[in-house]
Amino acid sequence: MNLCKPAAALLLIVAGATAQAASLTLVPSAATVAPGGAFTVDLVLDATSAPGMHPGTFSGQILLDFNNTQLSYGGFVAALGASGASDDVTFYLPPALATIGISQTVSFGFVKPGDVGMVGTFSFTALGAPGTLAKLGLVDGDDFFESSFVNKDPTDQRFTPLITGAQVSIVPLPAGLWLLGTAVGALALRRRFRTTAT
Amino acid sequence: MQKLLALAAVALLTLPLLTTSGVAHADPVARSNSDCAELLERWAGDPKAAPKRDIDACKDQLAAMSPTDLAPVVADPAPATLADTDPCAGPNAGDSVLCWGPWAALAPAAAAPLVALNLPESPIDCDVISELAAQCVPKLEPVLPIEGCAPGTPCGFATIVSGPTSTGDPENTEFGLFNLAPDGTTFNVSPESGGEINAVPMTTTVTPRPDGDGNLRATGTQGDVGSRLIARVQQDEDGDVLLAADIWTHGTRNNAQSGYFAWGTATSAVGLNALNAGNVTLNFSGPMSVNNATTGNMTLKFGGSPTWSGTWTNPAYSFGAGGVVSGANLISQPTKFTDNVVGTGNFVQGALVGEAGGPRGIAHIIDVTLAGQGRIKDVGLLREVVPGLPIGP
Repeated sequence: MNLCKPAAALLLIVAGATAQAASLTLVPSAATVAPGGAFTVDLVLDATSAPGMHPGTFSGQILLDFNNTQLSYGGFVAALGASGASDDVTFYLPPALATIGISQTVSFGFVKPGDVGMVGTFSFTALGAPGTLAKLGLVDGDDFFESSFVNKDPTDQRFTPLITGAQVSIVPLPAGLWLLGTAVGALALRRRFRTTAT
Repeated sequence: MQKLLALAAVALLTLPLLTTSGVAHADPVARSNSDCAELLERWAGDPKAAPKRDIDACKDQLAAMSPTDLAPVVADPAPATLADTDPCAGPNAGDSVLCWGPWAALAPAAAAPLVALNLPESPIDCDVISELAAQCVPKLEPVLPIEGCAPGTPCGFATIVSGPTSTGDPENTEFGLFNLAPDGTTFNVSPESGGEINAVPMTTTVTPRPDGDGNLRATGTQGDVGSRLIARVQQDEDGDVLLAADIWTHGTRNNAQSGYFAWGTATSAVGLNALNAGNVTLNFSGPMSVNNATTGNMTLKFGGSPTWSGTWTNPAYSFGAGGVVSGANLISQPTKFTDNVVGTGNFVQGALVGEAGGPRGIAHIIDVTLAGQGRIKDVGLLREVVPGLPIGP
């Protein structure tokens, strides 16, 4: 009983801290993907707790890294605004791809109007063998001075979002899919034999 | 014998004359008090009116009298003092080649006035020993807490804190001068406490803002040292930055300094003269940089004695200030703060930047202690409010 109160207080503090922090998160379209399968990953910003005016205009630089033997990069498309071009995400540094060994990185600097929403979408194709866990690392692209992120409304005000990467499992095709394929093939062969016999 | 008798007769005849003449040169002629007073009056208007010894004798004669004795002989009921009668103590003494000068004491040596912030509101620099002293018009030379801006030169102000976050406790926030290369590739901060912060060369990108201004990002590293600017800017058609404000950072990953800034080019002397000659009033408005929930509004009234007034409004507080404009600089006067500004050492200092026909602003810093709020230090670039046009960022 005595432990309950401190624990509850700690939970409240953690919850409060979590609620206060701005975040930048990768959200894959699926948790698993078959070898050779394509998938997308959304980059989502929540800056409701950032300093400055709200809704604001947020700017920062990111760097995404992945293993190029597991994933093939297909590009990044900036999100379009809901109410016209003025809400579109724009780049102050265009996306740039770099490769060092098996590590590949994508970096860019963006300006996003609005407190919450998609910055844009990455496209990938799974290359790894079944059982591979493909990791997508995400960091601040210019962390020399800790954070490159600012709310630009009405003046530039720094903030440090909590940045979270993602991972995708490369898995074999499901058994059901194999059975379905086999059945469809068998039916096709049977039909062909009947036609030949007639 | 006849010749000797003739010579003796001549000698006897001339002796009284010689004696009279000799007395005249040896002792002043005895004068009545009224004659002396009259003589001194003439001497006061014309130092050559009488020999000095006569004047001295009259002075002694009158000085030996009691004031009651003087009353009947001096028209002025006040006793005649040396200062009253000395022509070299009069207002026209400077016109006379016979007088050494009108001053009674040594004037202080020429030097910058050592005036603390809260000492005289408007120190007067007037040449008191000049012959033109009577016509001297007091000239306002306000003392600026931070070095001021020379007309027509790049100039700005910055806050300085330890670490890369740009924001810190006001007690640990320092002010300094800020300068920026027009192409945005380097900057310089000169803290009050001395030393220089010089950015390493940076590469820049500028993207448009919806309000027509630009977003400048400039970054650079040289070895372990890095520099960064994140700013709102106004550029000319060649891409040169005219006005800029917001975040600067410089140092190493483990030992950085940072802050906010407001920068422009101080209005030229020609521009200032035109404003003063036209008795122009300019209005400025905009958010501060350290706490951008605070909006500043300032009015500058140019003319013979340019002045300014302003208010700073935040959801949690509001205060007002006013003062004088000197050249391109403006500084608060202690008596012009609103009552909620308490304690000593409060000031608002700034400079008018930009020219007519182009973007203009007020780059300024504030350091005030507010009742119930504590100390506030901020820097801001207020933009000119042109009637009919939207207010800039």
